[in-house]
Amino acid sequence: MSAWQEILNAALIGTNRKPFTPPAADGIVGDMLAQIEGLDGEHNLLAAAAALTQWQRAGVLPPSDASSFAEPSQPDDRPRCSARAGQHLLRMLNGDYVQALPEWLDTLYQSGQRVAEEYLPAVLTRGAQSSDLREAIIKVIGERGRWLAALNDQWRYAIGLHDEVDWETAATTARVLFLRDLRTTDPDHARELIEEAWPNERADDRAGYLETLHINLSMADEPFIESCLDDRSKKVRVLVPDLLARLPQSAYIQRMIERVESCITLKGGAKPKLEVILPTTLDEAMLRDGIEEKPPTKMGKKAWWLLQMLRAIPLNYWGEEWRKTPTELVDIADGSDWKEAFHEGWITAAGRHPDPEWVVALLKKYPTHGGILQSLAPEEQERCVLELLEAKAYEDDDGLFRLIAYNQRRWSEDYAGMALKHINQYYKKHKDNPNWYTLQHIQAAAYTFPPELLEDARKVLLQDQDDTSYWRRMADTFIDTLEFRRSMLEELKIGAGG
Amino acid sequence: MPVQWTPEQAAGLAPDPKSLQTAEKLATPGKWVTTGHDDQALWGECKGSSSKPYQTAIDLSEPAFRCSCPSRKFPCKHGLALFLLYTRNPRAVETASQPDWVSDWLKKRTARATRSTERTPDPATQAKRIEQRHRKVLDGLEELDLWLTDMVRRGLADVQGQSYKYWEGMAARMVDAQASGMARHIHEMGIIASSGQGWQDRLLRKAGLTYLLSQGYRRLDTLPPEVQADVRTAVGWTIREDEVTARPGLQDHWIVLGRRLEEDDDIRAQRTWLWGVDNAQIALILDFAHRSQPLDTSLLPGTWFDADVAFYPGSVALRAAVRERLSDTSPIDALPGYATFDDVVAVYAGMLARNPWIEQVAFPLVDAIPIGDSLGWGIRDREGRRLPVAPAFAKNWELMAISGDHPVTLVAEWDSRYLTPLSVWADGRMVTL
Repeated sequence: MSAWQEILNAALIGTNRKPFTPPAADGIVGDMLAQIEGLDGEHNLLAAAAALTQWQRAGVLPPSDASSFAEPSQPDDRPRCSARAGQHLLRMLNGDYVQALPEWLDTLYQSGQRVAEEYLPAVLTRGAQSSDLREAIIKVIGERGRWLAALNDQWRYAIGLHDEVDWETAATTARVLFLRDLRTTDPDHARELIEEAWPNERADDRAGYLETLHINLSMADEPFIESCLDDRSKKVRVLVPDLLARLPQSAYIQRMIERVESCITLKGGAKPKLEVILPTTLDEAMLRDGIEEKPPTKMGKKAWWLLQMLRAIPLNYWGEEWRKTPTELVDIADGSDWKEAFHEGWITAAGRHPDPEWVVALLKKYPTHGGILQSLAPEEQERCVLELLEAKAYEDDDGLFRLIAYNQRRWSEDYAGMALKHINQYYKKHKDNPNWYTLQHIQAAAYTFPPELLEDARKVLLQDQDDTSYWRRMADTFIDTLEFRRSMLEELKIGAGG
Repeated sequence: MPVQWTPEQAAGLAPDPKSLQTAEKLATPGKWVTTGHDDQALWGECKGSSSKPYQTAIDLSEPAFRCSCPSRKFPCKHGLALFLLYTRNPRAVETASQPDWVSDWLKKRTARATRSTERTPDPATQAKRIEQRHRKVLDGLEELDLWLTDMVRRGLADVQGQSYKYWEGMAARMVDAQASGMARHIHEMGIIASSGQGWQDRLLRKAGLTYLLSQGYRRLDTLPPEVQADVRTAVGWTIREDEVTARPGLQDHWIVLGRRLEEDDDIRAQRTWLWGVDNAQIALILDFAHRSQPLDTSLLPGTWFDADVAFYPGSVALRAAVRERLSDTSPIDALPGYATFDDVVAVYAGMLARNPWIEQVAFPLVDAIPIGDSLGWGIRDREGRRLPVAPAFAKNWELMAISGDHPVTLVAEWDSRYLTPLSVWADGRMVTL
């Protein structure tokens, strides 16, 4: 037993039970302990403890480390973001202006920079919690970020697979990420990998791989996807119609067109009318194409069958077939007995095949479906909203701001100017009793509003002098957010050497 | 060129997290009617609930704050907000000439500073006060001695089960006896007793060192002057900073190595470590503040300045005060350090040999590699020797990210058991942890 252990044992038991005498030891320690001669056992024990503690504290010998090294991180070619940009990032990670984080990540990437090393753990953890940020995060963590992500299971989503050697051994989630990546650069190769692996995979995994085909989908994928209509698992089969319906030239769409041709007719004349005659049962071919027999609640069986066919067909088909404008067709369909099926079917089709004219026509009639705007390119989105505003295609003031706010991309200055005009009008009319939802829509726009127009926004929003009003509180948050974004974007520009 | 303050430093001045949050809301140009700055000061007028805007000014040399608002927080949200605004984006505040209310305040400050250095206490009264306190401490230590020997008589296994009153009662007695250093040791013993695995070992070590200190103070007259100073400091005697700065100073090229903040109830203690390049001398700047008061954040890790630094009396030159700055502050372009852990522990052992109550000392170590594996988190030196990182250290992943398994220069406190990293020099820049 070591001298220290002897002293410790004596201290634990207590000198009442067992009197203490300093232990004997070799060398310097022994000499030191031999010098202790206090008044009694207690003092001797405390003195011995003090002496040995000091001796041990001073005599630490750092042990040799036998563990092996990991492969060090490769050098990064992108510069790290500036310290000030890091401060902005830190504030967002701590919960301030967190909705500006995607913009920060994207701008950082566009300007050729990467996240500074000390923020990598927090950024990688954020990506582990919010999967919608992962793609943006992976682009800006650099070599160091990928090196780090390999060390923590929670961050493994951030490791790209670099070649097919990895593919053979990787877990499903990593494979899906790899496929998504490969689809952006070599879509055919990615599909071939899926086809090869297909027979041996479980249904859940097959479904996961199939969904990656949405990226860079083309007619080259059609034969394989078509074959999935006959897959043994329903989990896989239900995903197929959405893919095939996005390929305008697909045989699937052609089959759907043939079906509607035989059951929908447009009776001409001054007041055109739709006539729909559906079969009494679904045939084998329809079932194979994924048309489900049993309707969801609150919908007739036949209407449900019709809806499933309508939503598969690109909207431009109807104009060409019946020689009518989208607005005319939406009116005719809305006046028919099958208006529900047409309404829902066409809204879904509009989301799949970007077509500004149809989007405007549908939203004029059904203003609450603004989500379909997001299928359009940013400039087209703005043009459509402007057209809808012109036509007053909204139910009330709240609907108006909801429509404006559907545009989730960064607004152009014209668009923002238009929005400010409406905000100003709203303020003049309702400043004393604004609608809570409307205030929320306006406040949320601070994340899409161009910071270049900060001064204009101040003039309109800060008219209210009463800083306790609901309006003013919204306006203050709006302006604060915009100021934050402006300084955030400026800093990234400086960091990029701009 | 005036001192370049950073947003981190500004945020570090917040007396509590809530103040920082409210200040954030005011840290935008829209909230300020006017703002301006010159090399000496920063000022602004902030819209508040009264009709007249609040006038806020900051003396940039310290920084020191002044505001016309009624808040008792210090600095108030206006001062903090203005400083945040300016440090985040200096271009948001234009250069201007000082308005009267700013220059008047600055003049008063200078006058006050001159007065306070002129005041000297009466030596006779002071000697009497010191003698009275010394008696009080001795009386307290008499009781402590009984308490400690009683503990050993009953056995540590027995006292471990005692309630917190057992420890806190004695700690409070030491506070009454004006031996705050002793009180802290007793308080820590109470924490160790309920700290789980290995408590016996740690408790006996602490008891031993406390006993050693108590014995040392009771034999104060027999000790050499430097050791007397060590013992008095460890027991809790404080020395006024102007007494320290009156001592001869050491002139050097000082690098700010790192900083660590410890909070205990209402008191915040900040250790800032400096490294004198020419003399290979470490220096500790200790700063205490009540929770609602700001700490000095003017020493920014990764910067250097020439200065005359005076050390507190004692057998190891460690705690220090900056007597006089002889140059502006600039960022460092290299960080020297010890080559191996053997060097570090040898220097540390040398300090302990002279002053056994030294706790942690910061060291820069070149070619350090942070590791995390089945043994836990650790640091490896260039000879492949390894020391463990303190379990309470929360930024191991950040440290790993900064190194990427490449050697870095690490500044860490060593306390004979664990390393606590403070900052790291990698790829030509300093990152604080």
